[in-house]
Amino acid sequence: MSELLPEHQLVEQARRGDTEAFGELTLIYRRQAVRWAEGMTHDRSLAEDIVQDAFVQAYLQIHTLKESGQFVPWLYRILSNYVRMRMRRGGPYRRERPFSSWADAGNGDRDGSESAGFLAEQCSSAFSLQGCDIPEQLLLNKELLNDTDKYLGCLNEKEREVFEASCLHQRTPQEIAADLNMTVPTVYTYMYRSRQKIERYYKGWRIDAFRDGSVTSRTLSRRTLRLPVMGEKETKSVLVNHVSHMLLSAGYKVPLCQLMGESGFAFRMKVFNQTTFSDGIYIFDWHEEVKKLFRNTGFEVSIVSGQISHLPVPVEAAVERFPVVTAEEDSVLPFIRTAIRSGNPVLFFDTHTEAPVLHDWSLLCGYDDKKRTCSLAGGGTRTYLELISSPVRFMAAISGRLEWAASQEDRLIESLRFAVNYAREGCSYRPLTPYVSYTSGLAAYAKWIQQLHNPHLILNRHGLGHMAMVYADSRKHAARYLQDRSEAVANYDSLAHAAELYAEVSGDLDRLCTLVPFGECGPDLTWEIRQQCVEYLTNALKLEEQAVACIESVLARWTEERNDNNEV
Amino acid sequence: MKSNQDYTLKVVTPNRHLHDWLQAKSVFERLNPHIGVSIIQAADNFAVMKQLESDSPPDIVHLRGYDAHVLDAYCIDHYGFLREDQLEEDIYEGVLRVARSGERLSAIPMEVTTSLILYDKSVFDREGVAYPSEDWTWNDFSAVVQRLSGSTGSSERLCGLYMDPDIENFEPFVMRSKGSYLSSDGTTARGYLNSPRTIEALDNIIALYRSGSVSPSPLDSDARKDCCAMKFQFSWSAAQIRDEGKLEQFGCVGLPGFPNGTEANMLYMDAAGVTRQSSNPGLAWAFLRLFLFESPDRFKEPWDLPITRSLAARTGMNSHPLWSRFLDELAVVQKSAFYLNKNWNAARQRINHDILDIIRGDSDLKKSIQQWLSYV
Repeated sequence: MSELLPEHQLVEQARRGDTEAFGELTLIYRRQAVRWAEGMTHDRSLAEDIVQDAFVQAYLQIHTLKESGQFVPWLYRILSNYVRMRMRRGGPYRRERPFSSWADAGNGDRDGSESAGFLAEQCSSAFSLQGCDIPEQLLLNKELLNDTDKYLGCLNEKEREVFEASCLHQRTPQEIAADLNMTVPTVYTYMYRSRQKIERYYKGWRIDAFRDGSVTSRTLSRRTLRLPVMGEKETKSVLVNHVSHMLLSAGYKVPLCQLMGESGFAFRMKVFNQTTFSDGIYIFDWHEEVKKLFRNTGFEVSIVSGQISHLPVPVEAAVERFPVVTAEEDSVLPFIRTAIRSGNPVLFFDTHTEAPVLHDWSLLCGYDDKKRTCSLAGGGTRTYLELISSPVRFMAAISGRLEWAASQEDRLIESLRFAVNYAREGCSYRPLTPYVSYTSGLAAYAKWIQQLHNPHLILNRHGLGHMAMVYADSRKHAARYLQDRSEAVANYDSLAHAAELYAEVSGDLDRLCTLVPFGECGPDLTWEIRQQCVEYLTNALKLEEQAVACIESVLARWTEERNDNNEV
Repeated sequence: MKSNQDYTLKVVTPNRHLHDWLQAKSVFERLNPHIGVSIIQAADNFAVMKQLESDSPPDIVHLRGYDAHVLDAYCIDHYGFLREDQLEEDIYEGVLRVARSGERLSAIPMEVTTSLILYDKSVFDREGVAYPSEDWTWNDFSAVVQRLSGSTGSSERLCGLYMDPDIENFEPFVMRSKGSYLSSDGTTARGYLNSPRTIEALDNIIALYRSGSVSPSPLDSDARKDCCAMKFQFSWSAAQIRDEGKLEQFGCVGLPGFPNGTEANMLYMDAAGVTRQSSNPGLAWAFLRLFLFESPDRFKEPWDLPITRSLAARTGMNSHPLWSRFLDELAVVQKSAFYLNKNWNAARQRINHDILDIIRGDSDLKKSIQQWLSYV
């Protein structure tokens, strides 16, 4: 331990402006920093460059370091940010081949590597979008694709084939020669020629672009949307709240209970099997459910998603199949700018929320390139760096209207079927990870009760309160939705009874929430409190079973009527 | 350094071994009446990271999985402590080999486990098949798996092998065939994942699934774990068998060998370490040492393996027919792709999704491998 003392002193001295002390810190940590950076970039030279930049930044900013004991994590964060900024699609040898490396491959000419590098970035971004299984990403990143097409348009077919094979698909000259049935020297010739052509074309484009101001305007724009006031009490299902706000800003008002009911969020319940953490609230197929939320109201949505591999990822079971992405602006900022310029706020999964939640859904309503921040609906900002380096990337924005929308009756029947299937069979989304598991539907009540009954299980009070709050609120909306539908649609009287039952379920869960309030310190979860919780949940389960049975009878009657009509 | 008087150590754990942590807290506080220990539950490693970056970071951090990137950044080098307390020699070399980054040990491995084949002796006896031996080959293994599939001495359908179709589970077989997913420095999969040896090993495993003799399989949603003659499993499964009172019914054997192959296996481990932010790392280490090295009670009913020979001896695990075999395997463990490249690990479930398609015949292994190369 004694060896740690000088380091603390050095940091203290460096914070007071002692350059020699900072120099010593550089000597101590440089090797380790290069190793971190090399671990992330897999490129020694690049790692050394990054470390150099990071130390300069650290020196300039060391007065902002709050505690000397946090020097290394602080330095690591600076370094990580620099790595992310410099990495392109996982590093210099993944999906991207810097043009400068072509010189190493044989032509010896390294001039113009700056523009060639920029081009490679553009191309690799475009390529990754093409390879993405979410077609909407392509639409909202037109700028990037257009630019890339602009460059590649100057090549003939053969040159383009060679360029793409080398720069985008990372094929070696030998592999390209075999693939395209040409000799290796011919491959080098094509590589050299296409590089020259692109260099000339690129320089010309940049000059033109600066002349007409398009680059300047693009890089320094600012836009803030004035979002309409919601005018309705928000739900505790934060995602649905934001979707409602997005629809309102697109001029479409949907009552929250309708959105909750038709999306199925009014009927969901998912419990983490290990203990009472509230992660289950977030575990569903994000792509599918977000699309469904908008589709039901006649809107199309575009989505960008990914996970950053070098950081621990929250709600792993929901994001496990997202593509691995790097923290680069080109993947995120064009999406935000395009959406906001067209008047649409951007829904995103926010990992920088304040307590009591560790993460949640948020809504971006503006961006400012000069300040490098995005504004949040409801106040506050997120920096570009926070947005691009978040371990989970999920952004969605309205991208158009659908020509077709289901009838109100069809939507009702679909949501009733969902409610029954979810209650009986559980959530259809099944994570593959073996490390976490969840129970959903009516079985979730049983799992929750079992956890409270187990005297050996250490419960999580925070999660317990969170679940109680969210699920009490969701049942409240289930009740309102069913009540509303029962009045609007003839012959479905049983829905009114189901609505009453859901209202009672909500009451029991509300009582649980009062006993274990979310976000507040309260009494220890004594055995008596556990038993009281069990009582509320047991009652809620019985009532919800009855409610589900009521919905089943409505569906049976509807099917019968439909069959009769068909026969007629 | 702060005085050891009236200090509260803060420990954050992703809800693993919570009872063990609390037990150690109770012992430590009894031995050190002026020191408090606060154990904080975190939902996952992300929640642990939030604690590390908070205004009151923990003294000790426990991570699910040995995440070297996070540990290097937030934890001190533990070699000094190990050497000072003469613990280094006591730790199984294989465990240290996999855990260290260069000359640095950023955390102490815990919840260490590795994989073996557990076989149900009653099924082998009933079917008149000889128990597997340590020198068995892939061909022997494959033949037994298929021989014991579908045959029935009871109303239940029998499956030869239980193994989750997961790219991580396949890695020990690939290692033993002298293939690998990644280069030894983890920088590339090209030339490794698509090498003939790796492809052949993966092909063999896929063929076994396609033959309908492995469960669970996307080809058979009814297959059940308890109808399997053999199980590819970590020590956790042995613990389950023990809890079901069936320990005597099962034997265990190493994974099969491959022609011109090698002895190898993967290692799974969590990590616990003293953070750089701790203002009393000596005290934090004292508590961590008590928890990891001086608490044999943790292994009264073990789920995982002790990392030191002395703990293995004190708990009797080194002479237990099942646990000792798992401990033997620690000599041949290697760094698996999980530790070598974070991108690979993050892409795991995308790859697993592809594997299900390959088993169903909806995708081609070689074409999928071309796609997987780009994940690294």
